[in-house]
Amino acid sequence: MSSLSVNSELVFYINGKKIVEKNADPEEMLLAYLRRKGFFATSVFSTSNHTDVTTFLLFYDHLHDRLFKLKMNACLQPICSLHGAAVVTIEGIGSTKTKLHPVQEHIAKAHGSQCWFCTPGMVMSMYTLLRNNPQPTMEDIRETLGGDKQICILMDLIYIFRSMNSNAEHKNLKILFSFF
Amino acid sequence: TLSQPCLHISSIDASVALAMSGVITFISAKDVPGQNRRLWFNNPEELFAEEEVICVGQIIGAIVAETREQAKRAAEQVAITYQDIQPAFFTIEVFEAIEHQSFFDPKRKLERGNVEEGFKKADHILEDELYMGGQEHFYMETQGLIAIPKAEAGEMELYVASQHAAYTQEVVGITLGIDSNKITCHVKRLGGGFGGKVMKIASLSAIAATATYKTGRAVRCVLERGDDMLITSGRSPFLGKYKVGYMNDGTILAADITYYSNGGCTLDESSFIMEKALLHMDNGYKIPNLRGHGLVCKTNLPSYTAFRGFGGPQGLTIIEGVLHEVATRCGLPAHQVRDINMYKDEKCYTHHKQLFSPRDMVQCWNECLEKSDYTHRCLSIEQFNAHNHWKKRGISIVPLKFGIGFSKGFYNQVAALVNIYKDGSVLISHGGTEMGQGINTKAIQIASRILKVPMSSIHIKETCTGNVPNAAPSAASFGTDAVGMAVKNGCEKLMRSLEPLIKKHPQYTWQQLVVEAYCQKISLSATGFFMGPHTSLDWEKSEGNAYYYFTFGACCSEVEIDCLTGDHENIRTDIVMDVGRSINPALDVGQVEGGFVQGIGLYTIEELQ
Repeated sequence: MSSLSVNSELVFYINGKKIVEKNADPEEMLLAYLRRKGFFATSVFSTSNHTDVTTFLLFYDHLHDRLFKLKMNACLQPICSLHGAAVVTIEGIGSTKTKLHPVQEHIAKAHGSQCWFCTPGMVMSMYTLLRNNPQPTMEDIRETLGGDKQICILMDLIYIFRSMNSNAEHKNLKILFSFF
Repeated sequence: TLSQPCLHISSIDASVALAMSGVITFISAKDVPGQNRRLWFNNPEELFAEEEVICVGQIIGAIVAETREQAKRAAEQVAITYQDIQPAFFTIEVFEAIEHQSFFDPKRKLERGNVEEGFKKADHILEDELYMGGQEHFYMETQGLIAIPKAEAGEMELYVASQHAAYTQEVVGITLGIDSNKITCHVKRLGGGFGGKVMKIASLSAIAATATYKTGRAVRCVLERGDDMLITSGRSPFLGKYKVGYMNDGTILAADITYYSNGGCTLDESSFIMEKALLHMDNGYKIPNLRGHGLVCKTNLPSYTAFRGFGGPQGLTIIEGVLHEVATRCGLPAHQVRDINMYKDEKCYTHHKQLFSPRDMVQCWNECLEKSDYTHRCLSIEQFNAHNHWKKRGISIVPLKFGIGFSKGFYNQVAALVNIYKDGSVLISHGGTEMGQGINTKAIQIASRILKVPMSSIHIKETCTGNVPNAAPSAASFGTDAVGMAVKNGCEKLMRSLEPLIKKHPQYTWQQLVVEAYCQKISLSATGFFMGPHTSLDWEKSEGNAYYYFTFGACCSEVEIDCLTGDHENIRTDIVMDVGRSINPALDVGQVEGGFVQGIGLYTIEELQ
């Protein structure tokens, strides 16, 4: 990722807060790091590449002068690869303590969850989609949520698709995070 | 894990592993303070393999380390030497187990009428077989637990992902040689259970508890997905060999079906699963002469276990396959043949002589036919198929009769503890487990209705063996039935004792009432209990009321198959399900849909290697 300067400290952001790690473990994955630091809503289904997306990543590529807004598998992302990037977890976009993000609210109201284990992943997938494309089509939504293995609520996805679609098309989402 | 089953363990050497950084200890059979072997309904279950390994994925020992990565690395360094002992067999379709007559006891049989007579009278006889594979639970949250030692008297707290906290408590107690009253299992919620978090989790808990016992430190054990899929296994594959005698109009006079299931290396729940398959072998059909044999094969695979439906789907599938074959051979529409054979009389008896009324099933069937516009769609499908060479469509409608509750009567019981606090808030603790099916939501709804307080004042924190002892597993589609009744019972007890106060002070708010009750020394805590039906089955006589009641439904699906690629698409499905008076329609719809999707997976796209 970005190489602003040669540095022995790992510097990145989680939910807008600057993190400086002096002795970052090169083998440590973001998932383990997040859970260690108390971000418990990010969880793991399996450590292979075709499941679960639970965090949102923002980084600025100096070489190509571009801002990337991506979703990623926290279980496969080494923290050292995140130097200079901003990571957003579900706790960062909304909660019952602060205020629910519209994506969270929609899923809850549409009965879009049963045991809720996969829901953070779905929320972050949708959040990423909306950050990149505020007016997604049904096909975009289907594509985006396809990677999350929600066995029990596959049917409920229909409700969510419909509610997300109305969310995307009729609401004007405010972007809650500013860049560093 | 090793790649070959059926080996004799010669030696275990953990010295290299123990020298690695962060590694605390290695535990195996010899570290178990209580019993390493225990009996489960007269079948031995071993925690750590001591002398012999009988399947791939069997646990021999465990490495305890400071971090997961350190533990993983060290585990690879544990050297175990083996000796080959005997031939291993894995599958029932290769007939290995059947050939070697490797079965578990008991072998079950159910019979009604006279099958031989039926065959004589039939116009045609059909003999064939149908195999259906197993299924992996794939709950989103893998199995895991945390075991925390407490300072005194061997006390231990376990936070477990289990549908049957009481069983985990029991197994940990046996393993450590500690009384149950000192072991507390907590379950807040599960990220999906589907039957997979009942049995194996108890063994995992015992292993973690042994580690805690030995090291005196809290131990966390969470399986990685690959290990979870291997070690905890899934739904048993079934082979059904059948002989059917039927008439030209599709009426089935007699059917003799032998079910073979792959039970894996230990019995686990396989005999109960086979029992349920046999009890559902009639589905919705009044076949007058019916005989079923059930044999659970012992193979060298990780033990197959409970999975949503618990043998019901397997039993139903075979008979539905039979119906379909009969229809094809008669050249009659499948739904017509199903209709002819269906239970219709107001009073019917199942093949295990349980009285029931199929009225609701017939209603579901008719409604499904109507709502799915079955007849018209059949015609348009015929047209489609006539005009399309490489893509073909098909439609099928199937009825359902499914028994609710445990056929092992003693499991049909549950308790709940309802506490009202002086500030008016209510805490409920029940013996069921929340795994996404919404049992907690329904329990709160029930309490709210009876106590006449808003749902926001009622809270369920967790399922805990310290609050409700000896709870049955949350299984058999019975959780809410049982827990709901227990919660109702507890709340009603409280309301009865509060009633005189309510009469005396009708203007009091709930909180004032509660405080007054406290001052009057009226108990604000009650246990509710639900003693469920006395189900049982006499296997010798093939009779007994095996289930509390039956749930009925019907489902119609249209599918398009690509004849060149083999791919298929599910075009439309209509499900009509009788759920009685629903406590929470949103939850119920979610459950029906979720079950349907798991069914699609089971029958069409999932395959265990």
